Amino acid sequence: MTTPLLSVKDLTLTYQTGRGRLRALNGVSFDVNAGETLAVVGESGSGKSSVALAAMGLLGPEAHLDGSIRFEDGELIGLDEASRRALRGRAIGMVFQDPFTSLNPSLRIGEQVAEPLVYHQGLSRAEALEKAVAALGEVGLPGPREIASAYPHQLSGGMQQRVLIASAIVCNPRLLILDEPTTALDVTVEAQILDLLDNLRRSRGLGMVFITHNLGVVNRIADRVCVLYAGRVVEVGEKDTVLGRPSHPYTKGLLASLPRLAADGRARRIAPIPGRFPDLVNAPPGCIFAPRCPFAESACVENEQVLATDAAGNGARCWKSAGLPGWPEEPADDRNIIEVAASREPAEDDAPLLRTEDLSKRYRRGRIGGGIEWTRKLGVIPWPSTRAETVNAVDGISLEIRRGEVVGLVGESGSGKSTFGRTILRLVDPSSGHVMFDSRDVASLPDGELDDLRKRAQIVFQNPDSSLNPRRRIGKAIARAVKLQTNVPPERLRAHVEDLLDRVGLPRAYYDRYPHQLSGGEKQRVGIARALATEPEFIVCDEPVSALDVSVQATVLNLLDGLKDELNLSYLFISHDLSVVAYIADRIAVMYSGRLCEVGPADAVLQPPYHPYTQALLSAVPLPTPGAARRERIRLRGDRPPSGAQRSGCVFHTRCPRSLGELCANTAPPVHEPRPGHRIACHLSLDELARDASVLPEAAPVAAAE
Amino acid sequence: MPKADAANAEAARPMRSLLAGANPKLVVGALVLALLVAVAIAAPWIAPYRFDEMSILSRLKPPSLAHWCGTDEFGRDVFSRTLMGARLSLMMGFAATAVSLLIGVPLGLWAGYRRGTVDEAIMRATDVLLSFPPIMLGLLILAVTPPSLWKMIIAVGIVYVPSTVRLTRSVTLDLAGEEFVQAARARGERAAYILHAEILPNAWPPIMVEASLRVTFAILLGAALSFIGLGAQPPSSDWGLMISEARPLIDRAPWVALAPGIAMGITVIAVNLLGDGLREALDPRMQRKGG
Repeated sequence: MTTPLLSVKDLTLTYQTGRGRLRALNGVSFDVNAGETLAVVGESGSGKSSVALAAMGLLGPEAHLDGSIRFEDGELIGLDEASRRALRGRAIGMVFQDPFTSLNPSLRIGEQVAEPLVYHQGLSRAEALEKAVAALGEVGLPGPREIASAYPHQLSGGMQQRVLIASAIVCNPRLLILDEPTTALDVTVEAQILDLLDNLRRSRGLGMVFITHNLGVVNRIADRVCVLYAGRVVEVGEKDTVLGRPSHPYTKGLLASLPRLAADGRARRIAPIPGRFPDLVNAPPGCIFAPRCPFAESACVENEQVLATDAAGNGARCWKSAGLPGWPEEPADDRNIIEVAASREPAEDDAPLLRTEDLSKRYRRGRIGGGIEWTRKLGVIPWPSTRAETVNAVDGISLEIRRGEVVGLVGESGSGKSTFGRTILRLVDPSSGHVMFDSRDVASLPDGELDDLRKRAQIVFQNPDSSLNPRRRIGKAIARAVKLQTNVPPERLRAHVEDLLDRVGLPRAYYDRYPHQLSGGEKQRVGIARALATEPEFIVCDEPVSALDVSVQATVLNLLDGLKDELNLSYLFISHDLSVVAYIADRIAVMYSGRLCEVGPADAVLQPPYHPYTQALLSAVPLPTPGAARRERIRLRGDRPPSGAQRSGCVFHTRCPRSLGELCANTAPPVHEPRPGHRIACHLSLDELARDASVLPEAAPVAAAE
Repeated sequence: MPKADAANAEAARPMRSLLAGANPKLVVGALVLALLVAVAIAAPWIAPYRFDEMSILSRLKPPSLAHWCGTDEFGRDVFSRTLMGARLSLMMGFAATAVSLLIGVPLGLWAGYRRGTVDEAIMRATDVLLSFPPIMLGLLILAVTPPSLWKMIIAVGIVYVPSTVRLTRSVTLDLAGEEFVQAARARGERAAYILHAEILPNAWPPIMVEASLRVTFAILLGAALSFIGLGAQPPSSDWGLMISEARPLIDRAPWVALAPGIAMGITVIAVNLLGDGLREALDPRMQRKGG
């Protein structure tokens, strides 16, 4: 066996804080060989990014490192700044998470990619630029020469990420460290980037450390997996072993809390990991996961666990991992299944709670804002005229939501799904069309007459940090909504709000807390309690779990699901994550560039016949099931074009792998209805659409139960 | 190093109990400012000389035991004049800043939240005001009527309205897009409530910091207006007026400008500490966790 490219041994990272020493990393060890991809997986706070920063020597002076990080027989810890700079970029490349902030907005792409060549290899500007263009071509950017002279804002997110990868590989590094490189991207673009990385690894024999929280991505790209929890490696091993037959309870829990797409529609109920992330200053003694572990016994709390690995390098930091059963399902299962079954067939005759008719929202980047164009009057005199630019955020959407029904709205970023959600609540005024809420058109009512809608329809937001006023106590924020829209008497107000906190699973004492004292999942629960405070019938959930960790996401999803049944709520559930939508929704609407391409019952949308876009979207979703990595994938070309003013034909035709050319570009697609309530807008005939096999695997056996 | 930690904690404990967890910046700023105000109020009784008492024999005397800060060109005691000047100057600075906040903050909130035509109208009006040099604007307001202190305060206040409006508006623009503001709209709150209960508390910190700097600019502008005879009337004293009067003497008798200059410096630092301290004390995120 050759020496590993990167070898981390007993890496410990501590910070001195006001309360004591915080151990961000504790005895982390792993190896990466050339041509191998190691995925470092963990939730926020697990220390996964610290591993990358420690290897690159990018941690601040207040960080204290112990242990060893060896790169090709050279020790990286304690290396002086000059030798470090020589390694960075030249031998070790790094790609950061957010492509939108990682590129300097005022430098041309070519200069940014060429810079390390000039610095490390002493090439002249012209030679470096030549090589940079070659690297841009290698990462699959069309027209690399034009791209080299563009500025970052002219490129889409996926292209920017490719540029970052190009600048990381331009000096031929032997190791690439990627910190959540696809988290900010859409699934279809993510799939392209993952393919690219895999090809680069193969063609250049790169070793890669791939840091991510997404187990589906791990399944697609990794050879080996290293699971971090609270700064400790809790499990390492071959990808298929860790994902297929996890040994550590935490890995089992993570896998069990993921909603999974399967061909039979509704996924099984997800089982969250209870409890909170441990305090890293006063860490619990013994196993760090014991307080949240369903299998914990007194021996777990008393003894520090060791990471025991077998000959193949698979192992877990748990003394009883050998004979553990699968992650326990939620005890409340029976009741839920029955009620779920009941709610799946809403009464057909009853009028829908909400119906939109041809709803549109156009943003016009107004006169001066659109820029000035010079035209010629009388053929000679230059005359300035203003240019107006129109963006069709929502372009004629008709959708209905019945009482007690969850409609999932899926789409990639910029598809207009959030605008749609806000338009039906009149947080954004529609440009045209109707919103019938309980048979009353609210689209054109003046602001003063919206009281009824304001009481009966609410919204839960994506970002737990921005959805609560940082200067208001939790209780006061909820109480305000109660006071405004219900007749709860003032003396009962506090008890009523505490009941609401209780209902969303928060301690009653949280009434007097400020938002910053809560974790992300708890803040999201407060957001839900605030939405419930007006006693609504309908809630727009705008990506309510996208900013949360997997284990927390599961509890919030289950909470929303439970509340729906208890209070007979209807949701418009907006998300970019198909697995989440498939888990909670009765019906799914797929949105692309302001229009709906497919609407139907959840199980119908997840199976053929598919709209080509739905098919591509489903096949791009990375699944954590072993073997799913090898399934057939449909690759979309390029990125979504801007949703400009004149659009005839199908909005998807520029990227559609099955485009019929002229017809798709010029004529609006007809709507097929393969089943009552299941509508697909496409020029292809139903027979042709139905010919493809399902892109989802059959319902997999519960992996964690093995 | 657990031993050192323990020692540190030991040392920190009595300090903490003394200030009872209060913000040190806030305490120091408030104390110094309170002292300045007390001095201003008590000036006629604690000043060693009358502020307008001239003495031809002791013109431009350097600091001595008799005259702690020396005398000016009319032989008036600089120390006494500085004490008396605190009255006019502090009044000028704080009242004018209050005027600019009172007018500017509501306009800025309204413009930033409503956008559109209202925003355009308010912003273009502030642009016009900003295009005047401050002195000219003050002159315009004061020139037509006989000078008096309250008019000057309003004039200086109005001069600083445009920048207050601009700052408030830009902060409001950011906050209006936040999801908690959208949530307030979704539950049917009126615009007035959203502005004062949801946006204003979060907009305060930058406005406060700017306002604390503004106090000193207001003192200086007041001085400039006094200098051209529209503000404080000689022989009454005012720090700005004193500094302007001392300017031609700066090479022969620097002490004449020094005392009011130092007083102004102390005021600036105290006001800034107070502003900073208030900002931290009012921000729940800056408080100790676990409360």
